Formats: sequence, structure tokens, C-alpha cells
Amino acid sequence: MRVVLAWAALNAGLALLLTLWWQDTLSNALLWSAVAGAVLLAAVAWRPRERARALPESSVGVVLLAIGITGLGVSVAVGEWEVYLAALVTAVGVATVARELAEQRRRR
Amino acid sequence: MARITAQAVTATAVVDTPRPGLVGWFASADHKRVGVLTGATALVLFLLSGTLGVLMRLELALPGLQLFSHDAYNQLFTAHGAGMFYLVFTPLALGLAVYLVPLQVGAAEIFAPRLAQLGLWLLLSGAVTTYAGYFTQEGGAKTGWTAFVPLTDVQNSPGTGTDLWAVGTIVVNVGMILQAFCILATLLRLRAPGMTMLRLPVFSWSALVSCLMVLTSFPALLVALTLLEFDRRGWWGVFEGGGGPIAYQHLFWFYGHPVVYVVFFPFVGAVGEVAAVFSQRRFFGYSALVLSLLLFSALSMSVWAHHMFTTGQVQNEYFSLTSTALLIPAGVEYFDLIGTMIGGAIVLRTPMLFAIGFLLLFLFGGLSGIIVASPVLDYHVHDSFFVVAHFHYTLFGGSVFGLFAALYYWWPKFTGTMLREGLGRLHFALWFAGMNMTFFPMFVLGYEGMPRRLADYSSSDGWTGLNLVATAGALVLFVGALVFVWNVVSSLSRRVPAPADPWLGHTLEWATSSPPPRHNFDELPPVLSFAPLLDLREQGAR
Repeated sequence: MRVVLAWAALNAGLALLLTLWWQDTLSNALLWSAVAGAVLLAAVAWRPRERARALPESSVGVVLLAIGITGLGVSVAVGEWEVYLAALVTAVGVATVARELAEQRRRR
Repeated sequence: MARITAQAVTATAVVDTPRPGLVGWFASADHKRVGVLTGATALVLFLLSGTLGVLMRLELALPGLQLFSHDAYNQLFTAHGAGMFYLVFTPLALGLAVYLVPLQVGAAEIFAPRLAQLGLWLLLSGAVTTYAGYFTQEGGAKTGWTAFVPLTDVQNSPGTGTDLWAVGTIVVNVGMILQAFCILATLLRLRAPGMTMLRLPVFSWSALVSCLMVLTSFPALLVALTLLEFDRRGWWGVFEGGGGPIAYQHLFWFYGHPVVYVVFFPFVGAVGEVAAVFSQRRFFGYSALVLSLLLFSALSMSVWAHHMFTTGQVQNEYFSLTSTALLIPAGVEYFDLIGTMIGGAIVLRTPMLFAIGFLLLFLFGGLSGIIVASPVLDYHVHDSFFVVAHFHYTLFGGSVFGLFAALYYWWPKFTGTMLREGLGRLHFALWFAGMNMTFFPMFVLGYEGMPRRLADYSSSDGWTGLNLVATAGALVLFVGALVFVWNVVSSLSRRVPAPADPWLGHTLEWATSSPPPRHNFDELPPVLSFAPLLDLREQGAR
């Protein structure tokens, strides 16, 4: 966690220098957003060490989910009909992952 | 000293029954299979994108050849450049980390394994989407990997090919962000007892800074391409105004420069591991390297607008200062790598040859970087073949040679078999010669004014001789790639079993079998430094 904060601090120093040197809105917004992102990551990492966990062997649901998400994106290019098909695959993927997680929790 | 069981570290036993055959491989959530599949996908695409590069060189061998139409040539360099950045180097860098980081930190699994698996599948489906664009009626994207506005707007780049390219690129990069998150969380939260941050192996540190850059810079690309797609659909007009093209460039290069280091640092880390093991001594200047990686990665977030010096729309002094300052941490890393070798008992096996090649070739890339980091010099060479030479010395000489140092080094761990040493040496020799034949003439061509992305030139330009040498070099590189493929096929078909630790490695991945079991470790040695296995050997020798 501290290492991510240190990295955020280094970026904040460079962002401050940029702000003092050049008041371009987009450039400053980009660099300060990165600083904020790094602080957020540090906050996410600031949790107790992981306890023993179960290892999932495989997940077919994830494969379906990825294909569904990609299909949703592709529908922007190829037309609306693709949205319905991709949404269906995404829904099946989400349901399958949820079932896998529930089963994993039950076996733990 | 007491050994620690892996189950006490981060995980319980496997809960599922493994699926047999190909389904077991492709639906696997095991970080090792996800890492291998990510890397294998990227390697296949590397061969494809590399072949496209050779075709470009054939076109430029002599003036007036016109093996391809100008339109097809534009598609070639777009597929080559975009393929290498989005589909090859980033996945290779992260795939290597997905496989190795949990092993190096003594974890039984990667953090959020399904998320890492989702990253792999978004890479695969995004890559298919990207290439699908090349089979549409109007052809694929032809705007270069940067996809600058207004070249990419719907008037100048009509057709669904560019849309599919943009969507595929977005999907792939979402996948890479997910994998980077899993790697970073593994480093921060799943380390084995005793594995403090300052005991992380060099490669793991390089993966950590790379992941930080992915997570904070890649979203800018997602925003740029999503807004671009909105503009192309006519839903919005963000980049259509007077400042639109510059705004797009800011967003793009905020991703576009850090990604150069994302695809570089992991291979610096790999070269660091190889240099230490094959010099048979501890890595020199570990703390300085860690500090330089942190500083280098932070600085590289602040240099993006040096790509925009010639637009006249950016603050050249700030970006020139930060870009030139990169030399300091780069110098420290160089010093550490060379310091590791000095005084060592160097063993010149294939991984070490590629590591030394990396050091020599990246030097040219780094030094020519000083020229393009200086606005006055950059004005002369901007958008010329000089820039092509510079980034190929950093990306081919640096990243690719580092990658192959890593591949030859960790191949026994990945597959449980050894690669052939003779073929590896031949591969290295061909690539070292081919790399310099191909890309060094481009420095001269660029200095003499040959623009990049040129489909043809006149014989009166005086560029024919050097272009011919560069094309011959590209063919040598192609033959070298075939030698590597031959080595891989030979290694997998006529297996020479690899022991757990064929090189006398320093880090924890060599403390388990090759390839490792599903839960990675049956037991872990004590972790007292960044080189725990070397510690054990030194204790045993006393």
C-alpha cells in the first residue's frame, strides 16, 4: 500500500510542477486523474492480508462473459440486431459465473 | 530452518474437478494456464504482425515496386503497429507477469483468478474483432496505430473496418487492465510470509510498476477510442471542433507513452534475473533499481506531450525536461545490470546472450531518445524514419531481446522441457545481425528526410541502397523467427525433461517442479532476501 502511495506522491510532485508551469486544463486533468487513480488503488490495497481461499479450477462462465461483452461492443459497428444476441450471451455468462461462485462457496 | 506449507500461505486445496482436454485448458482459471495462453496468443500474433512488417519492407526494397496498393500498404502498417502494441507486447508483458508473479511471491494463486481469465478472453475476442475489420468491404483500419483525428473520422475513414478495429482495441485493453489489477493485487496482498516488498524479486518489481502505469494510463485510451467511436456514429462531436485533434492526441499519448514502458519494464526485470543467475552472483544495486523503477515509471507518466512538440500546442520546456530526466533512472538501471555482470562468472547460455543483446541494442534506442526528447532536434527528425529506427531499437532491441531472454530462461518452468541450445544461439545470431541491418539504416534514412509511413519513393531520392539493406535485414529476422519456431516445435515434440531448477535460479519459482502443480508449492523455503534460493545455497556452502 505504501509503495503505491509513494508512487502517487511522485506523480503528484510532477503534476504540481506541470500545474505551476502550464495551466492547460486537459493536460492537468489527465495527470491529476492518474494521481487520484493511484491513491484509489492504494486504498483498495489497504485491507487485511488475504485468508486461505479456495482455488477455482476453471470457469466456462467467464469465457461466455468475455464473448458477450465483446459482442456488445461489436454491435456498435455492425448494427442493433447484434445487441440482443450479445446481451443474451452476457446474461448467460453472468449467470454461469454466479452459479460457479455459489458452488465454490458451498464447497469451502 | 522451518519450511512453510503452501496451504498456510494463501489458499486451500483445489475445489473443482479439472476438466479434461482442450476445455480444461481454455476454460482454466489457473494463473499458469492463463499466463501461458495469454503469452501464446501474443506470440502467434507477434509472428503475424512481424510478417506484416517484412511485407512492408519488401514493398520499400526498391522504388516503384508497388507490390501493394497504397491503401493496402496503409492497412499493413496499421495492422503491424497496432498489432505489436495492443495485441503483442502488452499481453506478452502482462502474460509473463500473470504466470510468474504468484510463483515469485510464494502465492498459491493469482488474486481474483476469474478476472485474470476474463482478461485473457477479452484479449482473444478483441483480437478477433480487430482483425475481422480487415475482411470487411472497405478493408480494415488504415490510420496507423495512433488513429489520429481527423484521419479517423467517418469522412476520411469510412466503413466498419475502422469501427471494428476501435472496438477490438477497447476490448483488448479492458482485458489488459483487468490482468494488471490482478497482478498488482497479488503483489500487494498475497505475498508469502517473509516476502516483504523489499524482498520482491527484480522481475516482480518491474511488473508492479508496469501494472501501476497500466491502471492509471490505459483508461485514457479507452476514453479516447470510445469518444472517437461516438463521433463516428454521429452520437457526439467531441473531436470535431478546432481543438479536437489536439485533445485526442493528449488522450492518446497519455496512454501512448507509458505503454512503451509497460512493454519494456517487465523485460528489464527479466534481463535483471537472467543477468544475476547467469553471472552466478546476487543482483547488484537492488535498492537503487527499485527506486529507479518507481522514479522511471512516475516520470514516464509526465512525458506524453513530447510526441506533440511539432504541433506547437504544448509546453515544450516541461515535457522536454521530464523526458530528458528519464535518463537518470535509465542510467541507474543500466549501471545495475552491468554491475551485476562485472566480477561474475558469466555463463553464455542463450538467455544470457539475449540479455547482453538487450543491453547493447537498447543503448542505441536510449541514446537516440535524447535526440527526439529535444524539441529543436525533434523538429528535424519528427515523422521520419529516424523515429522508426529509435523506437525499433527500444522495442525490438529492448523489449523483444528482453522477451526472448525471458522465454529461453523460463521455458523449462513453463513447459517442463528444455529448448535446444544450438538453435537458440543460431536464433540469437540471426536476430542480432538482422536487427542492426534492418533498423540502423533507418537512422540515416530518417536524418536524410525519408518520411515514415511512405508507400513508395523515387530513385532520385538516393534512399535505394539503405532501403535494400534494411529489407535484407528484415528477411534475416524472418529466418531467425523460423529458427525459433523450429526450436519450439522440436522442444515440444521431442521432449528433453527439465529439472525443477535447471539454471540454479535465485527466486521462488525455481523451488517448485517444472511445470509447477496447480497450487504452485508443496512447501516454501524461508524468504530472507530477494534471492531466497541463492541464500539457501550460500547457507549450505558454509
